Formats: sequence, structure tokens, C-alpha cells
Amino acid sequence: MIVDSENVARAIFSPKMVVDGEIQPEAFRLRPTICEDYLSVMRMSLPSWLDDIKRIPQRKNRKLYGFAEMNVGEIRNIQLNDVAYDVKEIDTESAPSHAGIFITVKGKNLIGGMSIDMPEPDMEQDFLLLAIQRELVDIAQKGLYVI
Amino acid sequence: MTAIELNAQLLREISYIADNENYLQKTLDFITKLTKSEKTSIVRGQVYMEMLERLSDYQEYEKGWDGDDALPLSSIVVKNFKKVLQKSTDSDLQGWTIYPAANGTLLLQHKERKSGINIGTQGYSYYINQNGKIEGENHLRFTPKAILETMKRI
Repeated sequence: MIVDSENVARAIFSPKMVVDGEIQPEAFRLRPTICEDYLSVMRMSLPSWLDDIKRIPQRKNRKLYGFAEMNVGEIRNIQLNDVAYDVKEIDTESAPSHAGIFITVKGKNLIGGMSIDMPEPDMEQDFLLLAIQRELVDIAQKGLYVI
Repeated sequence: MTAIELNAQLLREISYIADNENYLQKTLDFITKLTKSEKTSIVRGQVYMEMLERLSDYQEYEKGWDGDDALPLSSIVVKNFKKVLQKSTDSDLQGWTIYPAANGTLLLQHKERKSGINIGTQGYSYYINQNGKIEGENHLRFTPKAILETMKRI
């Protein structure tokens, strides 16, 4: 159980995700390619959190740039019609501090997110996804750190 | 001529003008006009240039710029947004900023209000969050006028 007073860190994997000190909404996109149903974060109350972030696989275009510190209570308290945010443990051996931000819309888990097949805001729920991302960006913006 | 020399000349001229009420009024009117026009052009320049500069930066982003699978910004979307900029005034743009989105669209987001517009090649969507109540629409037809009206409305 993760308590409201805990803080979590959302890793930022590209310097392009931060423009003039502003975190981009894309940092909070659920990836459709892997049917992502939560946004990975690390619990900062556990000593291994920074090592856990550093252990996330990196690739040529995916280099750890920094992280955004976010308060769990603040995430859970986001007031958005029909949308609920929660932070739950996803304990794994390789990353004991691993947790996820789960989002439900009208009680259903939000999975995947925006289609990236074509340059059109073509999904039925596009505007809702933008509003959902915006809430997380506003919280993350307050605690942005470059590693 | 150096800045000090220019200053000295200016003060000398002002001392001549100060003796004549008519000259003094004319000078004052001219300086007021000059200052106002200068202020206007600076504000216009700042907002407009910031948008163009960011747009230019985003155009350099290659596939996977987000560290994952994001598409580069669509050239048609860039053209669309430039049309919006051309038809905009600085007050239209005040408070707005732009971000690229993973599917090659451009997200126009208000810095203070919780509202945004996602511009695509042919269409756009928008949202506004008013005290937790989300309103928005998808599949709207893109025109620069429609974007500017939406910006004003949300």
C-alpha cells in the first residue's frame, strides 16, 4: 500500500521531453504499442529508487535525462470528471521501488492511449487524453530534476 | 558617434526645444508615438518569434524523439500552424505554447488555463477543463480561423 504522503519519480528519457524547463505532455503518454495500462514511477521512499531508475533499459534514442518528483496524494486528488488516478505497487525483483500511475475513465482502465498511425488527432477520446496528461504535467512540473 | 556623444547632443537639442512651448508639445507627441510603436513591436516579436523558434526546433525531431516510437512533426501540420500564426495577432497568442505530440500533430496548450488544441493535417480537437469538468470535441475540420476562434473561446 502506497500512502498519500509518499513521493514518486517519473523518469524522463529524452532531453527533448523538457523544453525551456517545461516538461512535455508526451512524458505522460500511455504507449499503445505495448498496451501500457500504467505509467511507471519509482517510490522515492525506498532506498533503491534511483538505482532502479538507472537500471531501466536504455537505447540509442532512450537515454536517462532526469526525473519528475510527484506526490502520491496530489495525484490521487486530481479532480477530473469520470477520471480517477491511483498509484499502486508493481514490485519486481529487479526494481523493488517500481510502482505505476493507473488511470480509470468511468471505472474502466485506460490502456494504450493515442494511436500514432497518422498525424491526426483521430481517436474518439483524444481530447480526454490531453486533459488527463495535462493534470499529471502540472504536478510533475513542480519537481523537475536533471540527472 | 558614441552613446555619450549622442546623449549630449540630445540634451543640447532638448534645451533648445524646452524654450519653445510649441516645439515641446510636438516633441512630446512624437516621443509618445515612438515609444508606443516600439512597445507593440517588441511584444508582437516576442510571442510570435518564440512560437516560430519552437516550431523550428520541433521540426528537427526525428522518429523516436521521445525515447520511444514518436513520429516526427508532420510537415502539413507545420504548414497549418504557420497559417494560424500568420492570421493571429499577438494578443491571440499570449499565454499559449506549443508541444509536439507523438503522432506528428502539434499541441497548442494554454499556460495558465487548463485548455489545449491538438492540430493535425486536416482536423483538430480541443479540450477545456473547468473546475474538473472536461469539455471538448474531436474530428473538427482544420481552418486557421477555426483554431483562432477556439483559442479565444477556451
